[in-house]
Amino acid sequence: MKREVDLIVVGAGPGGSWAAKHAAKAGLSVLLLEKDREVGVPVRCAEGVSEKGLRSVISIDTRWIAQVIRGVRFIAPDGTKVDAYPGETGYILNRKLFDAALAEEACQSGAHLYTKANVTGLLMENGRTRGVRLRHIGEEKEIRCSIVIGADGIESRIGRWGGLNTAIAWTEMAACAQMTCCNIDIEPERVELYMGREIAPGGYAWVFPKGPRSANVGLGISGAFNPDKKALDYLKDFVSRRFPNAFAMTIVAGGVPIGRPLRDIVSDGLMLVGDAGRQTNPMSGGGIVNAMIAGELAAKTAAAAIKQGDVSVRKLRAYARDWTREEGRNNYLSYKFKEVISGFSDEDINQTARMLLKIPVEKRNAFNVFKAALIRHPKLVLEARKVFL
Amino acid sequence: MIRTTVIVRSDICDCCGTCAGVCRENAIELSETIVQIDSDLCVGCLDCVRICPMGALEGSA
Repeated sequence: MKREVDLIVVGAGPGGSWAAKHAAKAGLSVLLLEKDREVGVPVRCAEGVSEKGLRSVISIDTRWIAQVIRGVRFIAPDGTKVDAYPGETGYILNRKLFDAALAEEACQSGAHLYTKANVTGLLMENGRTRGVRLRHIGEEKEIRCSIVIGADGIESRIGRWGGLNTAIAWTEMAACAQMTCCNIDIEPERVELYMGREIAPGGYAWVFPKGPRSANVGLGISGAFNPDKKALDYLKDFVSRRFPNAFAMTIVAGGVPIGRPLRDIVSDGLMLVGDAGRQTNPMSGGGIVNAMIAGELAAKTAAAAIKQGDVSVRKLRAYARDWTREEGRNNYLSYKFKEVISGFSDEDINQTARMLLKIPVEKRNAFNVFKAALIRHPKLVLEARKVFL
Repeated sequence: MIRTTVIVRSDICDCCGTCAGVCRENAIELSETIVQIDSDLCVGCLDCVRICPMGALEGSA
C-alpha cells in the first residue's frame, strides 16, 4: 500500500467505486478502501433500479440483472390494488455482482483497491483533512492524501471527523429489514409496494422479484410511529401474512436517510458521496444511481482541485453545486412529497388508490400517481411536474 | 451519578450501521462483524436503541 496518494476513497459501494474510477481516469493516484472482506457483500439493498436511471450512468451488462421489471402494483391498506407505470422498465440487480463489476472497473482505470481495510480516523492538519488512519488485516497504517472522499455509507463517521454534521435525527431515518425469500407465489415482472400503518408506518413494504419464485421482501418504517415495534417484527408479520410458505434465504437490516437533504457535503480536503452524504431519494429510498452520479461529479471536482493545488472547501463546493443541480434539487422535492404522504392516514391512501383506479392504466405514470396523492396540495403538484415530466 | 449505557446484543446485531448514522456523538464504531459503543462519548440518549431495525440494542442504567 502506498504511503501517499492524491485521493483516498473510503467505501467500495457504487458511489465509492465510481468516484475512484473517474478520478483514476482523470489521472489521479487513487486508493479505494473497503472495510469488509468482500466488495458487494453483504447486500443491504432491495436492488431495484429504473432502466432509465441505470442507463444514464453506465452501459448495462445483463449479467448484473436478476430480474426485468415491467410494472408496479401499489396495494392500499384496504387491499385495493393499483397497477401503475406500465411500459416503464426496471431491473432488480444482483448487487453482489454489480458492486464487484464497478470496483473492478475502478481498478482497471488505475485505482488501488484494498479490502478488510477499516478506516479508524482522519489525519487532520490545521482543520484540513490530510489523510486517513486505518487497520488493514491487523496492521495500523497512516496514509496521506490531498482529498478524502467519504463513501462509507449510512454509518459514515468520516464527515463528522472532518467537521461536517451528518448525524441524522432518528425520526428522519427509515429503519429497514429485508428477507430474500424463496418458495413464494409472485408475478416475476411486477414489483409490489404495500402501504399502511399496520404494515409499515411512515414507510412502505416492497416485494422485488429476483426470479420466478424468489424476491427481496422488505420494509422501511419511521420509528416515530411506534418505537417499541422493530422493523424486523413488522417484516415477520408481513411475510407470514403475504407469503406463508416462504423461506428466508437471507435476513438483513439497514437504514435509509429520509430527511431533508444535507446542506454541507464538503469541507477542506473532504467530500461525501452516496449514503454518507445522505443523497438517497427520501421518497423511494433509492440510492444506487444517485451515488454513482455523485461519485462521478466528486471525482471531476477532485481532479480539477488537485491539479490547481487548491483543495479548500471553496474549491470543493463546485461538487456540491453540481450535485444540487443534477439530483439534489429532485431529492429536496421528493422530501417535500414524502413529508405530505407519510402523514396520510390509511383512509387517505385508500381514497387515493380508488381515485387512481378511475385513470386508465396506461396513464398511471409517476406524475399522475403523485398528482392523485397530492390533490389537496396544488403547489406540490406543480413541483411534481418538474420532477416527473 | 448513574449513567445510562447501551448494550449491543451481538447475537441479534446485523452490523448494519443504522445506529451509527443517528448517533449525534459519533460514539459508535462499526467493523465488519462488531458494533462497539464508546462509553466515554455515549451520552445515553438512546436514539440508537429506538432506531435499531433488529432490536439488538438495549439501554441499561
